[in-house]
Amino acid sequence: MTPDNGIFAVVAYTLTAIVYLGYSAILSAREKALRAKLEKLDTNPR
Amino acid sequence: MTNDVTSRRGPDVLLGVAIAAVAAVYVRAFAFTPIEARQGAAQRILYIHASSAFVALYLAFVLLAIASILYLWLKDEKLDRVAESSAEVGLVFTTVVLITGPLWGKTIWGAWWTWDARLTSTLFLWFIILSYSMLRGAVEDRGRRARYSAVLGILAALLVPFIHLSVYMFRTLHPMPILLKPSTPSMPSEMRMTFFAAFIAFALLFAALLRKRYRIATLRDLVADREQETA
Amino acid sequence: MPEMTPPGTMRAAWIVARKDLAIEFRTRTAFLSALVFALLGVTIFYFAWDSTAVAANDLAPGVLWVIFIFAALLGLQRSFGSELADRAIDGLLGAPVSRESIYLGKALANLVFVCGVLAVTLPAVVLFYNLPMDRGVLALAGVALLAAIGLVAIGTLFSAMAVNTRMAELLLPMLSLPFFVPIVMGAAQSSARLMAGRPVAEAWPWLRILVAFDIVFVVACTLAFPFTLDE
Repeated sequence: MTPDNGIFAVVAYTLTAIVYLGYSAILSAREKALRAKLEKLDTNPR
Repeated sequence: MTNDVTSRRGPDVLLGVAIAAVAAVYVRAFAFTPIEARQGAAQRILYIHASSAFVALYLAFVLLAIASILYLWLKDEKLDRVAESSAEVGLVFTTVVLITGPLWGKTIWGAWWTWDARLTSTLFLWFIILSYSMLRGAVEDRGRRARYSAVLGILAALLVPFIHLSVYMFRTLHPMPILLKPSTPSMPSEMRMTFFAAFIAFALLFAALLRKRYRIATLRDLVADREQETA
Repeated sequence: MPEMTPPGTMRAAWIVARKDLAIEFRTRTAFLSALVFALLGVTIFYFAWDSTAVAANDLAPGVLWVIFIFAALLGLQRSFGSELADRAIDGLLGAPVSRESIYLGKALANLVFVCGVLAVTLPAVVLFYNLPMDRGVLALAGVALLAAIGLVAIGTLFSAMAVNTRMAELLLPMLSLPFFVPIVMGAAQSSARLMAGRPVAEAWPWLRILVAFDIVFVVACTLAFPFTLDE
């Protein structure tokens, strides 16, 4: 057991949070952009 | 296309609840769960590592396989969107497993990567889902893309047991660094609870992300259809 | 003209295979390219290793399998490429043969192709890596045939899909390689044991994986092939 064992746990938990939160944010942005685009198309048929 | 996807929606409650659940697990893992004597603080990594692995293989990948089979049978576009979403979200979860695994492994085995059977299988799962995504990216026609993806999804499901078996056999025939048992048979109930809570929380997170990604797929196809109409 | 009954599946497959091989034989470019690639690869690999550290005949099987995979992939690229021009596949589809026969026929042609490359590469490996010419070489050839069946089953199906995409040359290896892993593992592990003169019982677990893989995927790919056609 290495003395800086706890650091690994902190790093792991932090990176995990970054990945999941980051992905959630990306998805939210994509969804918002698509909804906006759809609305524009629906109200503005050429 | 259903109306409820396109109608204006408030904040994503499911996602919020899921993230809160994961945060609660974080707190519980650090503040309320004892550390295992031999492994030390790094043992905590297993809560998120094992849960993400469970979600990646038994939720995401199994769903991908089932959606693929059902699509070839029923030809419903919705099933293809489920498969597509499950693959992408599954890839994210698998990535987390591959990040947390070596971090834990370094403390146990002294090396970042030891070709441990489970991690190696996970690595291959990652490659498989990645190649599934590449296939989807390479086919433009929606119907053909759905068919090809479904074929690959089913074949991949057949492949995974072979990978697990081969890797396991390979590993047991080759001497590996001494392995500390990750959890003794008599796991204190706090730890068991934390594992349980982690599994629930990450399963919730998967469901929330899956639903969101599915909506994105539906919206994307709707937009494409509308653009076709007005073109 | 007397009413002719459409040929049964195996006979139809054989007809398709003969057609493919006849076309290939006329130009021979793909075969010769794969052959040259294999021979060059075998040679280059020899210089990529420190021959004082690793004995040549320990290295040989590994080299064989790696080169084998890539030469096979080269050959498989051309499998459906010839049908792509002028939608010649429509002519094939119009014929009264079952879709499964088309797949089996193409796979058979590819198998002949791969075995042809093997027939030259294997003696080259024996020669360049100083392998003892004993029963071990026969075992190697046998295992190679089993591996070839699996490679060809997967590769033929995936080349049918890849040929319709923008990045065909990249996509075929990306899709196929995860599937090749159990094949290479099974082939390498069993051939290493057989060549070292170990009893067959030691190689048997790995041979079993190879045989099981062949059976599962020949059946699965045959059944999946019709779904890759646009009709």
